Amino acid sequence: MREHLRKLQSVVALVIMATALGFATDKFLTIENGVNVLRQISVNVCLSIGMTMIIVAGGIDLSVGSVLALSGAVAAGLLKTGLALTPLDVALQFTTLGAIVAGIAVGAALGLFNGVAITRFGLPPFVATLGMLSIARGLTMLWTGGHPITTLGSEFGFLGTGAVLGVPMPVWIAGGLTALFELVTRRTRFGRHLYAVGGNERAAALSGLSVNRIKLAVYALGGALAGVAGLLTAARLDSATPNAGFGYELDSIAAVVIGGTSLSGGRGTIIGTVLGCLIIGVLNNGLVLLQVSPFWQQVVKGFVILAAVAIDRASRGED
Amino acid sequence: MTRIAITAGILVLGAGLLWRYPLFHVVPLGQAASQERGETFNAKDRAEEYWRARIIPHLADAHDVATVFASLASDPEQARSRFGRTVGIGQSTFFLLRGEGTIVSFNKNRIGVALSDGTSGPNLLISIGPVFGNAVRDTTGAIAADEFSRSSDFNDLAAELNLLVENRVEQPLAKQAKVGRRVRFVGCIELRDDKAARPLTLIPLEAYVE
Repeated sequence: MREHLRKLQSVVALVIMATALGFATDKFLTIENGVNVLRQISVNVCLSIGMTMIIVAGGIDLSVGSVLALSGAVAAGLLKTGLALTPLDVALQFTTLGAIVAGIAVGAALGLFNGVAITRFGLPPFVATLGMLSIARGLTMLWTGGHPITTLGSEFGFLGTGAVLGVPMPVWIAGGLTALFELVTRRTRFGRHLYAVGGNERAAALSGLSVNRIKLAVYALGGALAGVAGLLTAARLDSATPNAGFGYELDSIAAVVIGGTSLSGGRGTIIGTVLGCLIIGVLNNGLVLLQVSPFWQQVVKGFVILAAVAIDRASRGED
Repeated sequence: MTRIAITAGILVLGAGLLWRYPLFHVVPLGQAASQERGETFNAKDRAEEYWRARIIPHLADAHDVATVFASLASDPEQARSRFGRTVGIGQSTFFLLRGEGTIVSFNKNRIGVALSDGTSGPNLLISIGPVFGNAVRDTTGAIAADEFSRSSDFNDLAAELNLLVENRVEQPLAKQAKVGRRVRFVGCIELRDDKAARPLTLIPLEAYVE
């Protein structure tokens, strides 16, 4: 019973916020604004699904914002100008599908690099991913020359600005990934292993789980999802900017924590994280509609995160 | 055995999908239109090329200035859609105009022109000073942003075209302009707001003083 009530906390908080904002501004409770909020949180949902799995497995990834930027930039660059293989005297002209695959592959590769640094070299996840935060941002600057890569074409743009049945594509993609990874974490062996590794890594190892392999996989998945977020960001803006995703890791971690995932690992759900994304999205949207200064928005958001974690810990009876 | 069959099936399916939906095409390096990244963008050369090939040929499409001004006065929205060109989601509309008038005033940055005989004050200003903005680049619609991989290249082109107009059109015009002389012109106007202060300022792309 208590567990059910705890799970409902995020939903209750969301309903209270939505009701209050509905009274405060008549622009909030409209279908158009609802779709707008969903579209705005799509990128954070993609990042946060990966972040949830990483945190559940006992890690953390501070590099997702930079990985997002590099993945988007690589996809945009390959799509726009291709890749010259000078020694072979040929060039690869990428199709839209090729650029998408390359963007996700870059994200996965960087995530895998994080995993290798953590599992093979024993670096703490905080330090390894902090290093990647800087590496990926620098590589993005090198790849783009510090300039945005713009006008990526309508096919690629459809990912970010298109709609099917009136629902924007980013919402479809974020929704699809939510369903897929909810299934993966709840119904598959890999999902159960994640919780086992995050709950007690030593016990998981002693019971025969390949802890390092699971960690490698989860960091690679987190990177790939950051790659998807990068594609959505570039497609939505029709531009891959070198400073894209700056600070997104904090929004992502906030959504995961608000959604009830324990920062010490072993506990959390994808659905909870999506609710966390929704709470942050509704909060951002509401503060904008209420014309609250952006400076105050940061302050309010910080307090909401603190309150959410405090309430969550109190409801679990933790110290 | 089952595992081998499944793996082989996946590989065949993957190969089929890649054949149907390729990730990239291999082209000879020299032929690749995709080599823009590898080239050093030379805004000056590109401005020269585009001026000759993309702007000058379009001057014949200019609308009569008196007609457009009359339309702007009566129905600005219709004038914008009928005679103007709006780029992206911007508020500005660009008009490519031609006309003639009498020079009635003159300073280091602007020439005041009375479009119709008998008008005492100027109802159009022609720039002979520094040119800013994207009007020269964007008015004809012949130069598209998606030809450029970097927005900075596109912006640099606008700056070079502005410089070219200053040197090649404005400076000769400024030397010949005298109050009382007739001037024939083709040029562009950027209208940000229907309530913009009149007279409007035209950037000349071609001008002759008689």
